[in-house]
Amino acid sequence: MSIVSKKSVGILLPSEYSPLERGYWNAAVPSLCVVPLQQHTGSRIEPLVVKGDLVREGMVIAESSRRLAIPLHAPIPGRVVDIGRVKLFDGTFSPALAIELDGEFDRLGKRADPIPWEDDDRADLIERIRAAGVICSPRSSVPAHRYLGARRALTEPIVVLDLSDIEPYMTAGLEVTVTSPVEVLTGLRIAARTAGTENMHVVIGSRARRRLRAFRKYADEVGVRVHYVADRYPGLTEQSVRSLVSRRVARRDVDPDIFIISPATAFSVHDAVVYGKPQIDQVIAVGGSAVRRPAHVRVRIGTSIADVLAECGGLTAEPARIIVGGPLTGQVVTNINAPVTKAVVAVIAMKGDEIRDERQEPCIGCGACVRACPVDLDPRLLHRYIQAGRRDRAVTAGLLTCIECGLCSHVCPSRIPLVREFRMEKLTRENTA
Amino acid sequence: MNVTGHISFPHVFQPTTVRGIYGKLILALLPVAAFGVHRGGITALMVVIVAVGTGVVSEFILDMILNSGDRQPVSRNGRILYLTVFLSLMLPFDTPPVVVALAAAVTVVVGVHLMGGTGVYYINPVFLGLLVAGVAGMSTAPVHWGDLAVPSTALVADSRFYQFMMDYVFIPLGMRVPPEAISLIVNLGETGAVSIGASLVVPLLLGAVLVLGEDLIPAGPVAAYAAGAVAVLYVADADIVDLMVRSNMMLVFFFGMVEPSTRPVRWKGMVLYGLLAGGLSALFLVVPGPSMPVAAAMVIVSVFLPLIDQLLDQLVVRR
Repeated sequence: MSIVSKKSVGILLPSEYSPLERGYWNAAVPSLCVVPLQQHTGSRIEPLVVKGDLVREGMVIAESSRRLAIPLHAPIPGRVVDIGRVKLFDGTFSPALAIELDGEFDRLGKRADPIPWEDDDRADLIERIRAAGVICSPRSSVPAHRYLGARRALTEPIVVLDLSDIEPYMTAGLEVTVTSPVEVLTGLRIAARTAGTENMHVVIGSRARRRLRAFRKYADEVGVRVHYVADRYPGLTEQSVRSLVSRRVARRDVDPDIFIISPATAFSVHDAVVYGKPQIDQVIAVGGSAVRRPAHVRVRIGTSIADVLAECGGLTAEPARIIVGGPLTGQVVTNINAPVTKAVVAVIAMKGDEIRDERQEPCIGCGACVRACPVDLDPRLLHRYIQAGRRDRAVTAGLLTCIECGLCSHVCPSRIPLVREFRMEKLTRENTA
Repeated sequence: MNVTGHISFPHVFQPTTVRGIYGKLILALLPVAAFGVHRGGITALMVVIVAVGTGVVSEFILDMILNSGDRQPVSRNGRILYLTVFLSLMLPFDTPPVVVALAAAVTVVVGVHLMGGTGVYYINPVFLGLLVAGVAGMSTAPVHWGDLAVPSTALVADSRFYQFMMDYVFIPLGMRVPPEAISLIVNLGETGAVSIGASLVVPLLLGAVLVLGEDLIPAGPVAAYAAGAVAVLYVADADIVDLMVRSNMMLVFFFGMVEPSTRPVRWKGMVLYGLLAGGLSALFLVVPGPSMPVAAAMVIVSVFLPLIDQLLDQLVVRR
């Protein structure tokens, strides 16, 4: 069954970004993998191996008995050559293990026999997802088993697969779905079972509609509701998803739990439960005007960002900025040798003319930010309050409801870093509270 | 490669810049200015030069006096150029240079700076300048100022431009073009007490094509302005086409109400603002009274801008 809806907020982004090759390939296995221990939001984990140990592919190399911990697995077979700290792409440091390629691959090119899951209960599924170390990338780094297992409302929850991401270059999830529709859909069904519901929805952006025909067919067969939304950025906020998928429930004034997962998470959940495969690799979109061959590649966790770029032919020119994540919400890479983590779904190298950064000028009050804001805030007003030091007025005007999508700064002709201002203000409030 | 690590998202921006906005608006005004000067000759040229010159000098002096180090002078992004060209096109041909200079200085000093600075004022600075010019002009010039041009097809038929076009373009192409049609391009009618930009419909449309339909000049509010004007003219049983073509309402359509800093920020607010402005402009045109009726209407409607924004904000929050 499908429902066609146009509920989507934000603006139409210009389709001027260089397109990526469709499909994806397995990147060359790196000779050295540096695996950060803290890739998830939750308890700290400790290494289970020491320097010099031989590890197998997919073997647990770090773990903790704490409640919010998930195990970490070796992405490649080899020898642990170092245990220390690594500088991540955003400039922060994390404890890490360095594994040098050695020994045999257990999984490369092989497909294990599927493990039945249909008769498993919630607790079993939660444990299998936890054991595979799956996180809810790219929406967050929260462990998937914690997210799907956290049920608050008494009503039946709703699980939503979000295929409406319209941020440029954030197309890895779409490619995974087009390439492996059955696996992604099975992952959604497992996620729904884990959340304790049969109520499943898929939200698809209009631009991807044609490419997802096969997926749609399977979705109809298993009773997943499909919604189509306009291709706007940021597209779906938590609130718009809620109004899209729970209209009937909302009329009865009941507020169900809604779990939104990405195709990458659904795929990882499928692999974890059906094949017992831990999350040791990730499909990444590699794009931007400075990349020689913009494409999607499946890389091992711990591969350096430099190796990922080299896999796509390297760079055509010195990039003005390298980003992990989308061009609107991503983070600047400060260390190109930093390893890829489970939360990374895109690496972008952009030339200056693609960025179009200019010197900041005073606000001319054009209101472009107001018209773009997906949550109907008045960023112009918030900016004035913050500049004047009237923080309480800024909160009254809705500062805390800002979803930090970055659109206000993106459209600002004066290049005022509005979203940075709002984020800093929110952080200041949190720290002083 | 940038490795500072303190750069916040977003990492890409839309191509629109402040300089780009005003650059486009100036380009859009140029055809009207060119034909206005063609129509009014050296007198019109003097009005444009004095307005622009005074505006730039005023900004320069203010910048020297108020310069606080990090303030971005407005003139560098083209805003002053745009405002003063627009002002000159709204002024009548016979405006004394002193009045032109006074209007331009008021536009920049009072309209832009004293009323809160860039982006904080509500009344378009040009209309403030025009108000001052209207008051000063009435005391120095014997004529009653207005916004209506009186096309003279006889003058058009005799003009060298018309003869040239007939001899080398229209007749060879087998076209019959009446002088009335040409008068919309190079109105050779009365040039005394009417705005330099009044009734130059075709040049105005030529320029507006550059910016119409974009976020800069959305079609909705412009249509609302036209609808408001047509409704009032219809009720007043006036000659709708004649008044809209002969006045400088069309100029205000595109360049007065869509100045990015002095219009409501939400789409619905812009449409409401357009309706009010169009209706009041038409009302002032058909009811004899205010000199520069269209400018006076814009100033009055501008007063309601904060109210419109506030009202729309309340509606959005309630939703």
